[in-house]
Amino acid sequence: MEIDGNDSFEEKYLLVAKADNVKHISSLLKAVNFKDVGVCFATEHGLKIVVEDSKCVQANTFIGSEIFQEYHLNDDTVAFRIDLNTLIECLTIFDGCSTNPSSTTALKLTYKEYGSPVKLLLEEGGIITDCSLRTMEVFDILDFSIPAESTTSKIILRSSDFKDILSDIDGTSDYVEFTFSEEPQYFKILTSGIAGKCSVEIPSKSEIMEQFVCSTTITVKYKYKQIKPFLKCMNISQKTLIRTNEEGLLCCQFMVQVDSHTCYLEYFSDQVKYDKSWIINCFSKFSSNNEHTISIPMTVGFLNHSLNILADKVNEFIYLTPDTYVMHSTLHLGILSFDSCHPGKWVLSFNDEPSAMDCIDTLRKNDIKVTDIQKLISERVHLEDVIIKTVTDVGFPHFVAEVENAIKTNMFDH
Amino acid sequence: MKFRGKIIDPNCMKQFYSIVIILSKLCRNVVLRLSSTKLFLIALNESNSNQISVWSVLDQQSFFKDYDMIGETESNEILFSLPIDMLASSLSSAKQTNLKTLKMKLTDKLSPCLTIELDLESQVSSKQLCTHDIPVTVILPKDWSEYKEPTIPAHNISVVMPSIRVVRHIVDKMKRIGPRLMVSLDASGKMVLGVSNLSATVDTHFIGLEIVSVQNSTDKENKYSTIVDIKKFSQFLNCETLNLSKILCHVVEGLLLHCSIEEDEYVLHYFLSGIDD
Repeated sequence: MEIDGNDSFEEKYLLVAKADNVKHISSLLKAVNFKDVGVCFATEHGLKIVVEDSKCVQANTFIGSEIFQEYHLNDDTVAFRIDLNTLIECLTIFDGCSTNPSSTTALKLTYKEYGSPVKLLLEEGGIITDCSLRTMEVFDILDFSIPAESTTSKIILRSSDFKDILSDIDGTSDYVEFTFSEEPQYFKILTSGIAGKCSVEIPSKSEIMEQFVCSTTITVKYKYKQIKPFLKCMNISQKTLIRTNEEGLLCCQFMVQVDSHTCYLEYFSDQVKYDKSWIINCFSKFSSNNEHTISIPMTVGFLNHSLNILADKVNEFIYLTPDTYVMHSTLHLGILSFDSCHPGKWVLSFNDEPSAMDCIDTLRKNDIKVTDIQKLISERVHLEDVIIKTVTDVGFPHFVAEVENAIKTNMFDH
Repeated sequence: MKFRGKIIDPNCMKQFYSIVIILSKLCRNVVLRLSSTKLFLIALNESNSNQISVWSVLDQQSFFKDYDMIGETESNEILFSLPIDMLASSLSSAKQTNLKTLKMKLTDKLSPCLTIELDLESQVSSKQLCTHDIPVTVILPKDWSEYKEPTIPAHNISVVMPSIRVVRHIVDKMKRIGPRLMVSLDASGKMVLGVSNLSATVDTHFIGLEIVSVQNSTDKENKYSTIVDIKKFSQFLNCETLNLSKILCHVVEGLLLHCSIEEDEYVLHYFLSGIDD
């Protein structure tokens, strides 16, 4: 690969990283790719990629600077949000192209300044791919950590065997319960699905258990979908370390051997505290020139701190600030929701671009600042407190009904 | 109206089969046009004003040992359409080594049929005869104009395609990023495949390709590009039997991506019209 090694050239960039073999990086990224968007932090020690969902699951992977043959950073930390799916597609673009198993893809990653795209230059067998990935502003991310002194239990398992156990658990079960028992010493997984209850007990003396520390018996409960992404990590890791604290925060660490270096993958899962859901009917106009309105039953789910409104067939969305919510009565729009991938954002979802553009026009007419979709996407709004206050309020189901009504009335006004 | 043909050479059978397989991956119905010297396989793009999407010509003498046809018009031609997947599955034993002869003939059973007769010989038992009847729709001479040889527009540039396997892998990855593929060729022998979506643009550069012809060879920088439906291009690349062929790639700026295989015994053209950005 043609790489300009000039130092003054590199100083113009916030981050420059080069790797001979991109495979290690892409396999680590794939393991945390349970959501589309990730936050990338670059420090002098390496790159950390953090992925969150519903404010209750956080996955991160740390790719140490030693994995890169060259690594230059011109700031203390550099952070940006990036579309992880596309990033992985780009990094693996040469996968399967070469018949020679020893050939590898080389990577040069550059990030010039805040707001600029991340550029990737990939090369294999004389073919070059260059990619430019748009970056987005970083939101506050959750600060999950379990300090050693507050750890109530800690176990280390062999990943390959633990994966077999975990992949066998009942997928129809909504929840998965983990029990760390002090006396007798064992680790138990309990599920209850359509087929009934099922529990797996791994005694501390088991061959697959390398370490078992438990100061007090604790049972913690998680959603099945919080646990499922662990499987991806186990495929590439050798050992799994599971820890919990008194609050039931679960931390799974996976040790991954990359050449002679060790990388770590980490998953934090917050215990299920509130979990409620309602079905509401939303009326949506499928496109601006279509007079038909369609009623879409949607599930409104509230898990711990985040409100998710889920509907099928929704593929276009734009982002709005909270004051636009007040304006919803003037809009004939799709679905109003909080977005689960971009916590703290209000989202309006549309089935097609024309109706989204239509909505933007309406917003403009109502003097709400909308410059363009790009701007809306990058606009930073933090609504966590508002959401918690709203959904914990006794009148929340009433609020849901109100949203439903407001949207419905609007549809018929037009 | 009469047609019968017999192929006995195992290589010819394989080649014939692989052409049928390519067509079956790209379209549902194929028109077979028979003349005294040539056999044409033609597919129209139904979603795009019946433009020809695949045009392939087989030289009768190189493929068939016996070839006998009588048409009903002066030009002595027969045209009929048939579901290509049925032909492909009937011929699937053509890749086996124990196939001795492959016979094709037009028959009048309950409806007009193309009858495929396969003579198989195995070590344990003696001869086996396997017959498939594929219903065909005979095309009347008044409709023949649709299946005329397409006028191929003047190409801005033609190059030899890089390894189809590599291109296939890359296009399949790109398919997951965006629906439109930009194919650009320039006189220095560079091919760029590009795709973009809201959050990214991705370009893959292949260099050092052999140039077959170029409109303006003095300006090496001048590139010619066409945007095509990535799914359709991927469909073409995914025809596994293409792997061994030398494929030419032609571009008419903004209008057409044209891939062709030109061998002595047969030619195959695949036309993919450009779409607006």
